[in-house]
Amino acid sequence: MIWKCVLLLVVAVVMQHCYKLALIMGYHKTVYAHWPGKCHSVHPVLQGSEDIALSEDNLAFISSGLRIQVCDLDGIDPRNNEFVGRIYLFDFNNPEAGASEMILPKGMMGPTFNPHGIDTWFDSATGRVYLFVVNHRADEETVELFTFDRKNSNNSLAHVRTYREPEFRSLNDVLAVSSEEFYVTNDGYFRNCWKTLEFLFLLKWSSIVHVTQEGGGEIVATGHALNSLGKSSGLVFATSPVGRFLNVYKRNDDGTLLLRHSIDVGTGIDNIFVHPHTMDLWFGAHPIGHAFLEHTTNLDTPAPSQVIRLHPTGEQDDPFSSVELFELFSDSGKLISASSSVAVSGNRLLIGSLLQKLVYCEMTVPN
Amino acid sequence: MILKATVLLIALFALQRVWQLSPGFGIHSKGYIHRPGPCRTVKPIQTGSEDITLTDNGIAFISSGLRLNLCKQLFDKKIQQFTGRIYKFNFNDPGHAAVEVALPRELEKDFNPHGVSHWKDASSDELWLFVVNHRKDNDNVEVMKYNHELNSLSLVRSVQSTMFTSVNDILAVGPNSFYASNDGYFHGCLRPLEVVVGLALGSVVFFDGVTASLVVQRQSDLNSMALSKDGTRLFLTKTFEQQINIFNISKENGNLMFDRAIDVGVSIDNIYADPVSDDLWLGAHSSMFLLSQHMTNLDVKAPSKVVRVHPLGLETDRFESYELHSPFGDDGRLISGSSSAVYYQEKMLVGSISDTLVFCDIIV
Repeated sequence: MIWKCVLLLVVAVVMQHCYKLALIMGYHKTVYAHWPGKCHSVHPVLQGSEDIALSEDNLAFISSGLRIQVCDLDGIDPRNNEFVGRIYLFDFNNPEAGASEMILPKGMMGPTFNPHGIDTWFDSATGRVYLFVVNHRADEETVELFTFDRKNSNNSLAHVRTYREPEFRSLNDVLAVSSEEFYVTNDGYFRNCWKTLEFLFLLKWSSIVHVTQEGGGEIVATGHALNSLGKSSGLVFATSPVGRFLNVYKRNDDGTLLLRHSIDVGTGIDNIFVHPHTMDLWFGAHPIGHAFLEHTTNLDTPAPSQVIRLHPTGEQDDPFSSVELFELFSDSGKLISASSSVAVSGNRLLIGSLLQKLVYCEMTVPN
Repeated sequence: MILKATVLLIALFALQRVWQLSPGFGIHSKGYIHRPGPCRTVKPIQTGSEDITLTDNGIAFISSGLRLNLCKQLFDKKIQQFTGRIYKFNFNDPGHAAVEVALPRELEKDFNPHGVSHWKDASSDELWLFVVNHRKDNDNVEVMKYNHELNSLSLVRSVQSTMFTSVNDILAVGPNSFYASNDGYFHGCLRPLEVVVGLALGSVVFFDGVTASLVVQRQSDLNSMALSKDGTRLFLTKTFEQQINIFNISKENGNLMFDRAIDVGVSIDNIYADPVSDDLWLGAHSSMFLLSQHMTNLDVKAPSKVVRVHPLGLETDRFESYELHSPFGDDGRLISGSSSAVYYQEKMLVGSISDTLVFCDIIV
């Protein structure tokens, strides 16, 4: 009798877990196309534009060529292994010029350079732009720090430092708080074949690490598949594309984080862009989980893309207690597949993808 | 032993029904806001604009004040106070409010309008309006003549039939002839049971001006109808199944032959076939779960969505392949429970079951 109850319980738990996975896979979902205005691909980006960071003077830094295979058995399209890690520059003040490839320092090429999340920090005293880049080296996870001098650089990046910390397990995004202090996300605990099991069992082993000026990393938050980071007036944000939620943390003076809200966004939000003027949060997103996975196993299979704007509507002391969600861009994969990032300047939109193109849109509709 | 088997069978059946109904229910759907251009509500409509019919010169007739007679206890009591009306909106003068159309005297006290359609005589410009009227005792189809100068309707005939079990929408194909869709059989509180169990008691009736005949039978979940540009195909929406069924129309007797079904992926309500482009415009409910909550309490917002189905196939089989677009999405604050959408020259009108009417300029 007891065994029957135990068996029933196990079956119920398994069924509920399968239901959760089915929701993540999004077999029940359909994508409806709509654009905010005229959109076109930005030349010559073809191997992804996974993350975008916007500097003070409307220059967008774009990481490209991300190689995502972590396990020989994960079925990733072998063409992705041939991708070349690059940083592109796109000038919103001159959108017709397309994206230009930045000159990287010697040593930042081949298996040594596999860029993922990026962020900028502007030093107003020196006029220098610092660029933090998550780098999946062949055998370790690092964060590279570069500088860019708009006036004297001829489009090149100078390498300043490589950060290595034992807390760097499976890095995804980086958030700069000064030229010497930043946060990173581990989107999981494992970096290898165990990652698949970690995903299937929906384990909450991802974390946010705080790296201070003094050196050393400290885990300041954990959660389910945390991905991208952003900040705005004392708050830090973290997305979860698998969990389909946005975490809002209060940032304490010592750099630790306190979770205030976990907001269900209903779609796989990836990289976050905090609008410098409106404080709205913009996301590149993956609306249908299984289509995203199919695209990674075969780059010719389109995956739907989506851009979401989250507008906080709560009181001044707790703005994210209630939110409005806008969908600025939705595509079946015809124009761009697996949109992972977005940057906004005025009424113009730049949309980046995990493994594919970069798209520029004019937003004609006041949204 | 028999008892155990029966319980298991019922449990399996219930599970299967939950599985079939749940995508349409949309518990996890979010109503993302997006617009094709500037949008606003159209005064003075606040008690519904369930269906819209659009003439070829941009005049829209809208049914308003629908009181669904399907288990009143489940619905917000405010709905019982709604007044049935027909409004007129002119796309050529969109800044103007919607104007109430004078009803025939015979119908003033017994008017509960649902689906609407129209027929225009190509040579004389005479206009007939066909309205599904849930009268106190039966569902009738009111065939009315529109007087343009007086902005009034006069009753030509009131069609009754035992085949009208629960009429939802109407599609006029001549000054005297039409198709009527029955969305089910039972009224009152047996209807929720009919839906949950999935009883196939819906049908489509063809009235040729003299006699009524059943042209589609033993179907569940039928809702709205539209005619293709060339008049040879009939589109029929199925809400929970999230599908449009396409039928070929027999010229001799109006019979319908099923051609294909297209999946739309959302709970669609009323359908409008654009006579210029062949696109199908649909009012849809992103979440039937939130819609049912909205109908129980009108203060609860239900997310709205307009879907445009754009055919990509050749002339012989237009909907063999198609693209799905959505020009409008709302979380319910501008319009809740969008049930219909019509398009005219880069402008759009969106109707709702029990809420507002929205007008949008389409600039993208």
